[in-house]
Amino acid sequence: MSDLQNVRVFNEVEARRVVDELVSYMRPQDPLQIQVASWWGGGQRWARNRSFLSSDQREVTVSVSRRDHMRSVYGSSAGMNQTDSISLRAIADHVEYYSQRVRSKVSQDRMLDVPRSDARGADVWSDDTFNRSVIDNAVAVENLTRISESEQLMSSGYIETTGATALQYSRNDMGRVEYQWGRVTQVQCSVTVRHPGGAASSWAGKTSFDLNRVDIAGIAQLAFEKCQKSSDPVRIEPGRYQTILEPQASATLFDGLLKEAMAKYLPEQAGRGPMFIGSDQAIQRYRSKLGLKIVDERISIFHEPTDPFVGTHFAPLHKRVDLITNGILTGLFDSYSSHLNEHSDIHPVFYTTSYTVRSGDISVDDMISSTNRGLLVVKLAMPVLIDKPSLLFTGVTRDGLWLIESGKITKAVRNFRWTESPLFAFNNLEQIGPSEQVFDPVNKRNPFGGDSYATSLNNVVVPYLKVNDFSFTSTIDAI
Amino acid sequence: MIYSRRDLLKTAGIAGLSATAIHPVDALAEVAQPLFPDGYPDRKELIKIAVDAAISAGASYADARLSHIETLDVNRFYPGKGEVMAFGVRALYDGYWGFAAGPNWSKEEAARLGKAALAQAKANVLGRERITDLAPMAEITEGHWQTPVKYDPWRMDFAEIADYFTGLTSYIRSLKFVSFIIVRHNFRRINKAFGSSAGQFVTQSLYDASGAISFSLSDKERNTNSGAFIDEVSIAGYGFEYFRDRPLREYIRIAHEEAVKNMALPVKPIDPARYNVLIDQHGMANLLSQSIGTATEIDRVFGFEANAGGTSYINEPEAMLGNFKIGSPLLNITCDRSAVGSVGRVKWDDEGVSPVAYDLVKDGVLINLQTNREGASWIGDYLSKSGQKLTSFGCANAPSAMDTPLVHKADLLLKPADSGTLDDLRGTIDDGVEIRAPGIAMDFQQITGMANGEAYEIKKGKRVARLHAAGMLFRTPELWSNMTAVGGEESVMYYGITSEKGQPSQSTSSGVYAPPAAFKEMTLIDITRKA
Repeated sequence: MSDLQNVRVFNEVEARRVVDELVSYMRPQDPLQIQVASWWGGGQRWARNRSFLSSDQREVTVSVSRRDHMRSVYGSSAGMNQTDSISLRAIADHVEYYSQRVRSKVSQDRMLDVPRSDARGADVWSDDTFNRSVIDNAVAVENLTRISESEQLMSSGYIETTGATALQYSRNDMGRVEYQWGRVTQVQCSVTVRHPGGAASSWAGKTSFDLNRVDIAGIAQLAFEKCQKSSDPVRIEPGRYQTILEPQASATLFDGLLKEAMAKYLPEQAGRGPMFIGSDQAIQRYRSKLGLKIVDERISIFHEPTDPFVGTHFAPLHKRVDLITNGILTGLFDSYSSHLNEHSDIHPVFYTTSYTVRSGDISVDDMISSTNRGLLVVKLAMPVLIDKPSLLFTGVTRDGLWLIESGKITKAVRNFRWTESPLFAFNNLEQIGPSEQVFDPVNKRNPFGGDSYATSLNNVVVPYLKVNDFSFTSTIDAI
Repeated sequence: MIYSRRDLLKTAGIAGLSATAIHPVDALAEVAQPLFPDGYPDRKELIKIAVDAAISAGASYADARLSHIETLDVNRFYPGKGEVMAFGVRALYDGYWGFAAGPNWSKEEAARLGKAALAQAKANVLGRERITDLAPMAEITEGHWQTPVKYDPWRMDFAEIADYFTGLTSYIRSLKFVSFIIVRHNFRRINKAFGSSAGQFVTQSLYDASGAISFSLSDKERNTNSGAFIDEVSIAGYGFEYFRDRPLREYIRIAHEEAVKNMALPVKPIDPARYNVLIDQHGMANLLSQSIGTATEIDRVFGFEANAGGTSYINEPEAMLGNFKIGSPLLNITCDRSAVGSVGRVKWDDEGVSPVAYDLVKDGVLINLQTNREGASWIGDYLSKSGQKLTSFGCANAPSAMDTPLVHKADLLLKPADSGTLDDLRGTIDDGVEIRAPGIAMDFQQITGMANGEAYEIKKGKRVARLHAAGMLFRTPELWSNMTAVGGEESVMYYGITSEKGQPSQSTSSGVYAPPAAFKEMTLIDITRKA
């Protein structure tokens, strides 16, 4: 299929040709899953006010996996040459060979007949993003670095536009065949502006599927202004502060809650997760906090697949899911197979990294002016989970931290190490502000993320938060 | 025969820096050809077409890389293998770099990639100058090199490998109190070719084996639990012999014995204060890799990673090189990419430079950085002043030809003392704390950090209690200045560490050879205590 060599990403017809050829080499009737994914990325890195690398990358991945209740095997291969007949045959032979020899096991993870709604999710694709050229990127970077150079500040950053498509073929153990096609684009831009002597640093960034939603000059300007406001930071005492978290900072806490606590299997392991409540003697099962209030009633978190800003093309059920509604836990991430095993009536919520937190109505200026003494944080970087039952994280503040006194930002502050739990923060909310899409790029080059139940898009829309008694435990030296 | 831990370290494993008795043969050394897949045009020709296309369009320098990476995961339940082919071309035009990569190994694609890389670079020439000097190559060579392996997993029956690990798991299950077992392993074979417009053409076949063995223990009667982690298994440059030819069951037995002993110790909260601290080899590897390895990557030092992983506390390299006291005179660190069995071992880096061993820190003073060809020219003045040649130290590395080469960590070797083991060091501590295999959370300049892991109270040279949630806060120069003793050569252990950097992020592995060490007056806190 040498004619496929000159395309940046496959369209549905091209991917289908590869899939169908592979299927013809496999034994009929066996359960099977095949993915043909292709990816293109254009990147622009700069530092010290100069571009230092422009890149154009393409990748193709073919993977075959056989899973049934007795055996499971996979084989994968990346490289478009691998889509020639000899290579496809080799992958098929390999998978067949191994599946004959691998020992049998009783699997909990059968390849089940997942019901899918006919409705498709949002089209998370933008031609503007996919057609972005290196010249556009170079000019944008030239303009924004000229500004920082003239002010004797150092700009560094990264712009990347990507497009990815995937066709997934699955045949379950009942012989039902399904093709699933999806495509996504992503644009990310992030800018760090530093004082050349290292006395100040700040950052701004955004991701979206649509290039027109990411204002590169605006992001650079924001980072530039924040850096100017950050010079000569002073040391203040660590302790508990009323803290205004910009969306990028509150996203760290929301991510911590969703990624570390909201999986359904966690409360089922005694004492393992914060959503565990106790064991029920009558039904011999552990109980979760489903249906109980776990955070402030102003917090609602949901996933809306038809909204292109947070939506996903790949969720098997294109239904809105509510994880937390008015502070009450209304959903836990689940896998379809465990859901079936339990004969549960509750609709399963598939893993997603895209979510929206409902907006509040207090503007950030009002938040600052109503603060007597507090801190404003741009980023809560490098979170590490140190205690699972209480969901306690530690990390550092980075690229912007200011002291607020009597309703005004008065000075820049040296960075802190923070030690806090999202559950504490979300139960000690003072105010909640407007929600914004934040910077949360995905590095994976396969839009299916290798897992048919998950989406690999991170589209996160979270609000400004004002939190009481946020815990900063020590000062750090890094700026 | 029952081994003690000390005997094992002496005779087996990859504790020593030289080849040990278990890896006597370079079984595949006579295979002078890289193990590239069949059916594609000649590698040298492909690279030449790509480089020529970039040069004839105006590039001042170009290089091209081919990579073919095979992975093998042999387990009972979900075995599989994968391969990834990539072709990447880098071109330099008027000081600006361009890069193009794709999956096709064809002549047409080679020409397209060469032109595309040049076009990427050229787009940035918009009036302001960027100076890019590449440090000269010591020699222009052609050749092939291969990691010496005894058992190539790709030439073995997969059932043999699977049976070995099934047996190992069964053995762990037979031990008392064991409740949860993790036995993981993976094999990788990286075939790569590099060629440049300077005439270099080299090929390599690099092997690595990685794994993790750990298990938890729980004593239901006494309502206490503990865990064991086999530090001897990480990621290293071997074939299947990494597992098969090493006394893993002895390691497991000893670790289990220790864990049972530890389980009997009382659990106490930590009283925040300054303590004498003992860190084991695995913990030292983590500390060295993060606080010194990462901080001395030259692109971080010069701000090229400011928007990604961060910068470095080495903020004035011209003034600090040769002067900056990073630690006590006991701190002597060598960078090397030729240590037998290390995952970082190569003959040529991803710019075709043959790495040489060199001193990074001598008698506690920072004397070099980790460089690639472009980075070496940034410290050219210092190199000539200190009597060194202006060459790259060979730290250019990329996970595959799909990624541009960046400066990644070389293997770090901490010089041991004349003698002394972990037990000996513990014996010298009257009152202190031992932290086993701490994980390190550092800031984005590698200057302040926190280390926490299983912690034990030491009284009169013995572990007397387990400390709950103890963590060590440190500043990098203070930490290394407070190092009072290091273990001897017999206590040196290898540990392979995988780390990430760059945008888009790249992940590579490198090794650390470190003895255990003792520190004085370190700040310990209860990490779960809030302000």
